Amino acid sequence: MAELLIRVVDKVQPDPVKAERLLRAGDVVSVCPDGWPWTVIERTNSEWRIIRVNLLATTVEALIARSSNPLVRRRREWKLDFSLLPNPSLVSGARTQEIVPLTRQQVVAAVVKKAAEV
Amino acid sequence: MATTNTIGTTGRDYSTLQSWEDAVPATPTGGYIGECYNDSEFTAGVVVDGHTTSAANFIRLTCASGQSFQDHANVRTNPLIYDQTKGVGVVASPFGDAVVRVSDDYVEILRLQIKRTAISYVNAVLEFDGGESNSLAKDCIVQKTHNADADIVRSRETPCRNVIAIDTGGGTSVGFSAYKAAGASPKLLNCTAVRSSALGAGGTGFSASASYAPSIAVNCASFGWSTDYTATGWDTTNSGYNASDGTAGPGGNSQDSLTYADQFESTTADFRTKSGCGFIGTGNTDATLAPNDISGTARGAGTAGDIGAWEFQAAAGGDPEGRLVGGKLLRGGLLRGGVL
Repeated sequence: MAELLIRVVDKVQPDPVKAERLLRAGDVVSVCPDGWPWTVIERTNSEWRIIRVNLLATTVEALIARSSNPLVRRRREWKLDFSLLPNPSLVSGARTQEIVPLTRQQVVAAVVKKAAEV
Repeated sequence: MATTNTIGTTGRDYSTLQSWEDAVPATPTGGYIGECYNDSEFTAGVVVDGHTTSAANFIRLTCASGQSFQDHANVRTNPLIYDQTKGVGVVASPFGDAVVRVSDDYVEILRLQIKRTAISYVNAVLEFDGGESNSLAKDCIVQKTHNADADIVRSRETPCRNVIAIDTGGGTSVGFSAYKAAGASPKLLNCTAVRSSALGAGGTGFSASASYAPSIAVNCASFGWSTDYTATGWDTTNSGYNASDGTAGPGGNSQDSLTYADQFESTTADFRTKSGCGFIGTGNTDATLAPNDISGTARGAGTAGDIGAWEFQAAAGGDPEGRLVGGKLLRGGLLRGGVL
């Protein structure tokens, strides 16, 4: 099992070039072992959610990897598309639970590769 | 006034370096400082990118007081190599990224130990990947233990001071890679690049290229590599006072062809310089150079400091032979600042 700290809204940056290089909604911020002692800020920041899921290491690697193309500046090549989760409200709006448990199938179904940078 | 947050485990503001960075506003008004605590070893790295920074709106990642290897009670006798039991350490092998990567300007990485243990398609340990002439790496131990080609420290414009790059893994690696297509030259000041003698010679200690803006190396030491300093790519007017066990470094006043084993306490596990080292007291005295060494010890005391990240001092109360107090015994028997 792992626990994923996920950004649920884009980090605001008026400069569009710099904004592309920040973490965006659906990007994984950090991956930690199950039972990780998340801090109060991490558990309550409205821009983040924590998901507990049993993922293959390769899936975790994909979620935190940048593109192998050095010209691509964004941090993550893959993200979670919340609309593909069975209950998107778990990661939007008011926080209803400190850690959201999801199954591997649910998360894998929501992992999407980002469109090419323009 | 800068905003300071703590990073560690129990009771800290953030438990990972990346969550701290992500929480720093896109414009870090007044400056944002992340202070690491050695509650446990950090097992993931950090990317600092996408922020609108300036001299006033900077980002600094460092250790809280008492938490760095530099603050350890036995810092002068501890082996100079990555050891998280002596202070904050970050060990990771992120897929496709450096352990610590900085792409913003005005970012400081201070007093940290950083190590990479496994390969991916990017193998760097500490990377500044362009446009950071006002950023700084200082007082850091940077080590790789994986056996693959890698730049241990990759600096595009960023000055590095008192940084030691250690290769105990192998491959055709580079200690410090200093390239910048244009603009400010990378400056490597009082940096040490060492490759464990257990690996045999290989790789390059300090690398620059004539295809890029010339790099500057002053007071740097390079040992254990096949190539200590690349032959081209250096600003030889502003470089100098470098040491190696091979050919001379860029600029004048070099100490070259030194015997590796005679310079360090160990050539595999402790890269503090030792008594009789050939580059003690042979550094430049330029006031812009680091006044203290990687352990926080004052350099030179009014005379020339040492080359490299470490400043040798005889043990208080005398050298091993009991003749000297608080001074330095230089190669050739010269005595500086000592009390007989």
